[in-house]
Amino acid sequence: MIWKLQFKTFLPLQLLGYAITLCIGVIIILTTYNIYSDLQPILKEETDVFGNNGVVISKEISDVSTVIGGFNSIKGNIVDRSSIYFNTEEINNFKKQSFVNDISFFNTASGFNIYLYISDLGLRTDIFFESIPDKYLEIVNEQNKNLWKWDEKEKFIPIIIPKDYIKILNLSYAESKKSSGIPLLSYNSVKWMKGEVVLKSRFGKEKFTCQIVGFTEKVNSILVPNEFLIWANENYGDKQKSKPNKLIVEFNNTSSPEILQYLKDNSYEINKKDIEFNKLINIFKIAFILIFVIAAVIITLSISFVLLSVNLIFQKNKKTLINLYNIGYNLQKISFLYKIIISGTTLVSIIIALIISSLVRNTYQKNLISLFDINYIENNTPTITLLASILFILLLNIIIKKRIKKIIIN
Amino acid sequence: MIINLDNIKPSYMSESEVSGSDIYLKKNINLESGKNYLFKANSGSGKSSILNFIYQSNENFEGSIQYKNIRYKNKIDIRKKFISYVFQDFKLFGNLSVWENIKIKNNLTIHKTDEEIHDLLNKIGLAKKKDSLVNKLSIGQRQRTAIVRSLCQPFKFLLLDEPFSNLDEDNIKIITKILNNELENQDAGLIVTTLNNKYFFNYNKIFKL
Repeated sequence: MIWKLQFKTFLPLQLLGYAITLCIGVIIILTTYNIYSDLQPILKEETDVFGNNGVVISKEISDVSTVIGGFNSIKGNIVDRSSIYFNTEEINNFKKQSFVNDISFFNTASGFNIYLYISDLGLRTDIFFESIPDKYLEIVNEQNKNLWKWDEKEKFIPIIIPKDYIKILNLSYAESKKSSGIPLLSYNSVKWMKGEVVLKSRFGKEKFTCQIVGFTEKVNSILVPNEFLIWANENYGDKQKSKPNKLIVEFNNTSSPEILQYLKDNSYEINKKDIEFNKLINIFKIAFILIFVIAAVIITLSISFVLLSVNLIFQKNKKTLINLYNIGYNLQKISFLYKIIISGTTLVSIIIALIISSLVRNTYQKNLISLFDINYIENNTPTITLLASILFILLLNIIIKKRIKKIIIN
Repeated sequence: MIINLDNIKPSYMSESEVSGSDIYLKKNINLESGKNYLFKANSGSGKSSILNFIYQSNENFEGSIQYKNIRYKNKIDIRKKFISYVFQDFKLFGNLSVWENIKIKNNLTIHKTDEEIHDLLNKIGLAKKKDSLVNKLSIGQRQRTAIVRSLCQPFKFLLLDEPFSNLDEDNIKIITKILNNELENQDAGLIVTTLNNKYFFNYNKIFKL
C-alpha cells in the first residue's frame, strides 16, 4: 500500500531523463577509457630492441652557432667539432629537470679502425661501433639474450644495426651490384648471416666473427655490447676518454609537453619520429581528457538533476512522508521505494551503458586487430564499473535517506 | 503502562499562559492504562500539543515525559505498539481509498483481519464507501475512517483529539461503543481532548489545560 502511495509521487519522465543522460555519460567515459587502454600497445611501440624508457638526444648542428669563421671563406659552413659534445654543466642541468629519471652516454670506438667483411654479400667496408648500457635494450627472445654478450676467448661480436641499413642494402647496394648476384635480404635472413670484424691500430690487429642479432629504428648507429667496446678501446684505442655527443635520456613520462619545450630551448635534437610520436600522444591525451571531462560533466548534471527531482518530490509530498512517519512507518520503510527506484534506474542505465560500450569495443577492436599486430586484450572495465556503481548507489541511498530524515524529523 | 508527565510546558508558551493548567508545569502526573482521562481546554491553550508531546510527534517542550512498565526501542515502537492516536487533522492520505488508508496502518501492525476491518466499517456506516478516495469524503466520514485506522494496532493508550467534532449523535454512540469495547479488550487507557462540555466517555480524571 505504501508503494502505491509513493509510486504516485514519481514523475516517469524525470526518471527517464536521468536514466538517458546517465547512460550517455557512462557510455562516453567507458568507450573513451577502452579506446585509450586498447591503443596503449600501439602507442608504446613495443617492437623495437631499443626500449621505451630511453630517448637518444644529440645537439642540433646549425650554421649560426657552430661555424668557425676561418673556414667559411673556403667551402661554406664547417661545423666546429667541439660544439657537438655535451659538457658537464649541460648534462647536470639536464639531470636536474623534473621529467628526467636518468641520463646515460653512448660509448664510442675511438683510436682504431674497424673493418667489416661479409662474404655472402661481397661486402667489405670500414665501419664504426657504439654501445649503450644494456638496460636500454629490449632483446626479447632467449636466443638473442645469450648472443648479446662479450667473451674475449670466443672472439664473437653480436651487432645491432638500424633497420634502415637493410633497406639501403636491398634497395641501393644490392641494386647497384645486381650483376654480382647479391640477393635481397629479409630481416630474418640477415640475422643468420655471419661476418668478420677486424680491429686494427698501432697496438695490433685482431679478427672476430660477428652476427647481426637485432634491429632498431630508434638508434641510428651500429651497436655492440658495452663490455666489448670497453675492452676494444682499452686494447686498441688511443686511451683518451671520449666526450659524449649523444645522450640516452630516461624520462618519467615521454609524452610530457615540458620535454619538447626544454629540447627546443636548448637546441637539442631528438629522433623526429619520437617528437612526432610524442606530439601525437599529447594530442591523444588532451582529446581523451577533454572527452572524459565532458562525460564527467554529463554524469554530474544527470546526478544533480535526479537529486534535485527527488528533492522536489520529497518537498511536494512532505505531508505524505510526515503522515507515514506519524502512523508508525520508520525512515527505512519510508525511504525504501525511493531508494529502490533510483538505485534500479541507476543500475539499469549503467548496465545498458556497459553493454553498449562493450559492443562498440568489439567493433573497433576487429579493425584494430586487422590493422595492427596486437592481441585482443581483456580489460577489467566492466568489473570496476559495476563496483563503482554499487558504491555510487550506496551513496545515493544515503543521500535519499538523509533528505527524507531532514523532512520528517523537522 | 504509565505515562509520567513531569513539569512539562510547551516551549512556545510562557509560564503565565499555562499558569492555570492542571498538567503544564505540574510535577509527576501519572496517566495509567486502563483509565480514561479528559483534557479540557479552550482553543489555543495547548490541547493538541499535549497529545503530540505524549505521542512524540512534537518534541518542542520543556520538562520530561516517561513511559513506564513497557519495553520499547524508539518512538516508532511506541507508535506501533503502545499508543494509538486519532489526530485532529486525521492525517489520512487523500489519494488513497478508505480501505487503503486503513490497510496502510494494518499492514504495518498485522493487528486485524480483513473481516474485522470490514465489520468495523459496517458498524460505522462506511462499508459502501470503502473504495472511495478519502479526498471525496465528507469531514465526518474522514473522521470515522481515522478512528477505524487507529484501532488497527495494539495500544495501551488511545489518544483522541476532539474525536467527535464532526459526527452526529447516532454515529457518536456507535463509535463510543466500539472504542469502549476496544479499550476494554486491550486494557488500554484513553486520553480525550475537548473544547466543549460533551464528554462521551466515563472519565477517571478530568484535567483542565
